[in-house]
Amino acid sequence: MKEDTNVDINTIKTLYRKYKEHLIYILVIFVTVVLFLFSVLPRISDLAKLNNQRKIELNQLSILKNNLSLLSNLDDSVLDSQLFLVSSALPSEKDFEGVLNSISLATAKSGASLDDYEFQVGGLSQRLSVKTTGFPFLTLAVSIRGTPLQVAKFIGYLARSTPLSQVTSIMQDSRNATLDINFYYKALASSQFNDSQAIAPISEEGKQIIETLSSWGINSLPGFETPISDTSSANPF
Amino acid sequence: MKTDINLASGVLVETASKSKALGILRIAGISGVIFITVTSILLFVLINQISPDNIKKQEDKILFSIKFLHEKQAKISAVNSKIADISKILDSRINYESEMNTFLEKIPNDVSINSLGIDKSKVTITVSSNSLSPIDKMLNSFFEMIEKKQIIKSITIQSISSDQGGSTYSLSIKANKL
Repeated sequence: MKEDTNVDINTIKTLYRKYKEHLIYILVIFVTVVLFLFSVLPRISDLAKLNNQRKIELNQLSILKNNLSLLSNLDDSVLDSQLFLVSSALPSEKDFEGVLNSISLATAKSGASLDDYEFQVGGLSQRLSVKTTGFPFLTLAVSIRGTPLQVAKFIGYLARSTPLSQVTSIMQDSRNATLDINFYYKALASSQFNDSQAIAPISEEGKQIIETLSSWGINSLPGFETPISDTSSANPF
Repeated sequence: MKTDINLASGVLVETASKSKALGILRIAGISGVIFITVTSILLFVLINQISPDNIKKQEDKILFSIKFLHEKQAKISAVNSKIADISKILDSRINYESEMNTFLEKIPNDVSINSLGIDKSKVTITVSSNSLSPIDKMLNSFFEMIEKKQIIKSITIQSISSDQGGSTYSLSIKANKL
């Protein structure tokens, strides 16, 4: 049987009057708890995220500062000459003029004389060679007149000239030699600047390579043209 | 002696417990308000300090400055890329000058070179001489090279011959490179 509970308005008023002060504090505590749960706690969890974000941004700022400092301190003329030097060593395209100058200088310095040369431009085998070496190259078959010692010197001088080359085969008899030489080139990949990426300065190894290239007598000033030897026997033109 | 006699009236007891509960509620309420206020202020200060907005403003300034240095950025990127490629080529090159000189040094003066061929994997040499002795000396030098693991790892004598009068001997060898 349901027991009737008669709570009339007067009873509520009486209870309210009696516990009015209690109710205020209970309400304050309730509001405090609600504020803590729905306002303070989420902010506290945001703190961790903000801290992580701050670390990322600080890292990014540090990279940008380093990039700015590096780029600002770079001497434009030095950079130009370094770019010229490395571009001479590894041109972006087939550098026929550079190749002929290189052959001409090497024959002149070695005391040998150039008999004949033949460029093997393009061809079906080129795709394969790029795959195997990693770099495209221009193949030149050269016949030179000279003793084995002179031919060895020629190979040495050629190795210390630009564009970079690699002799792949030597066939020498007592007075003549036939050499197959690959002259490397490589087009620059199109660069898209990513500001969040650190710019690497030229490494110590890189500086050594530049020094080595400089020591080969490549003029590092833009606009300079490598002279072709006056020796008529060594001039391929 | 009886000790549990309650002399206070029921109303007084109720008032005392009511004021005790009120005291507790008051302390809890005020503490809660103070806690929330202090926490909120602390959070506000911390969030303002941690906020990456200031850092982003600095980044924007630097990015603006870097925008005018993009040409230099492109140049140094090109130099670095070329250097990496040049390094690979230099490392992979075979020093044929040194190899050729090494073989030429081993060939005695009284032995003449008819042909010398070198490529990535082998060396072929054809020589001739008036005597077998210098040819033998040369061969021994090549065998020493194999022992010292210098350039070549094996030698095959392809032919050895003499002319009709027996005054000139020819030797043809093939050596496999290391």
